[in-house]
Amino acid sequence: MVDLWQIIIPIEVLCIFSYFYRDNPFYKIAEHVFIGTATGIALSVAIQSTILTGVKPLLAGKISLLPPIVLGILVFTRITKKWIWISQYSFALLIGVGTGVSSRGVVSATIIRLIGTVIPAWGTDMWSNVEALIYFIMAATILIYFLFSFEHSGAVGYMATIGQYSMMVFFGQRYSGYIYSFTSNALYGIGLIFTPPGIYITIIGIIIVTADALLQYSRNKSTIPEAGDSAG
Amino acid sequence: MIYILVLGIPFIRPIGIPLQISEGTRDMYNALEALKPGDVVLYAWTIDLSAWSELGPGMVAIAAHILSKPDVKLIMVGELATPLCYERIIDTIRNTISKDLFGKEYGKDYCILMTAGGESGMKAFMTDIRGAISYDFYLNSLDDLPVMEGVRDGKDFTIAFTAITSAYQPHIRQIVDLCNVPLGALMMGAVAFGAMPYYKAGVLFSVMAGLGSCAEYELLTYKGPAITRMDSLSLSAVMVVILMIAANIKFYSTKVSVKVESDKDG
Repeated sequence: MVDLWQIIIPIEVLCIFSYFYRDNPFYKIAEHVFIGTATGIALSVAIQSTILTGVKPLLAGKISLLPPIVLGILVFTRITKKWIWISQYSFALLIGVGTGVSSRGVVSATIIRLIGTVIPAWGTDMWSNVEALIYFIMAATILIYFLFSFEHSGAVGYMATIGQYSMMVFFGQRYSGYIYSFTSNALYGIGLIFTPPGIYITIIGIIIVTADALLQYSRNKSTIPEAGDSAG
Repeated sequence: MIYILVLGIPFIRPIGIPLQISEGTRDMYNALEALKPGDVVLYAWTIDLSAWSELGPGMVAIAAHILSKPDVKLIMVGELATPLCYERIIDTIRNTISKDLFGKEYGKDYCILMTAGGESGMKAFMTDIRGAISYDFYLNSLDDLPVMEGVRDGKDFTIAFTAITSAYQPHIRQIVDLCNVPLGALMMGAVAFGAMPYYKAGVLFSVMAGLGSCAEYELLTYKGPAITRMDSLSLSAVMVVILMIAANIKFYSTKVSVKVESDKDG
């Protein structure tokens, strides 16, 4: 038996892809369904999360959860101008704790350990050393590019230029990475509309688009005035 | 439209472009292959369903690989919609790889947990699991789950895996730095290369990049949809290169013709 979702999802994908042809009601429907579903899921997940991690343990006697729940409720005072100041305490605590938690490990995990990758360890493996040397040059020159305390001329200027090119390499890689990722995401949808049962829906879609294009063409042809009409 | 049609061809008639296993994928496979009975794996704060189309196949293959190991516990923890993603992983394994889930049972061999509070919640969990949460995703008390026996904090995990689209630094800070648990990551293609220094420095024991790595992992373990999609992805790369060359030729030919015309006028 065919799973109903195997029909609904390709229809949704085709409706979204129909935008490539032109803006149309099917695309609008798919767009609204997507936004509505995403919002619905987000809301239900947020409620579930609050119940699971806050309300349920509190009712079971975990009193330590009372202060964070109260602080969470106080955030809603932002909807009134008079009591908006109360929400600042919640946000202050949130930002303070967040910064404190994330600060731990910044130096050891993301700075000290990474230094090892840009310092060549001579005598191990030649290519690793070359790689590390390139990393080192790129890291150093990019840092020089962002030093504005002195003029970028002479040797410093050359190094800043190397830094600029290094950044261009990074941005280029990043951009290609995004193309790679977006194509990968699109392939999920493309796979659905080119394999059964989606392929049958695609054929119907192609027939609809072709019929619409032909209709449009004939309509345009009939509305274009003949050469002699306008003169007469 | 032509682009979509061309990418659709391999789904109708697979080309079978060969895949080479990358270093990051190999490291992940070897690390999970080396798991011994009694080990506890943390499946940590991965993506929700938003990036499923790119990373889903890899997440399924890795979870299946872990579950296939006898007497290895799997603790899946996430925030907001992530547990829904874990449910989908389990369902996909049941439907496509192993109907009886390698004989694994919920609560006994694996479980799904939910935290809140972002990195603060992550830290609280890794410091004291029962202090941070009391129930699993289905509102069972943690004390009633045999899988959680002997698992008190982050240090009780043998190895950790995550699949993420952008912010991997919190995972490094709270899993690797705080608890010294080896962490491997499957990342979106766009961000994976930015994480390579962490891999080279040994902070992450593996970095897998996008759909390509998912296909490689499927090739090493259980064949799945990523392998089929790789034909299309390779074809898309060829098409992008051809279009770039064509656009550059057009650009320079237009530039030359404009220059010739302006020279004539001048």
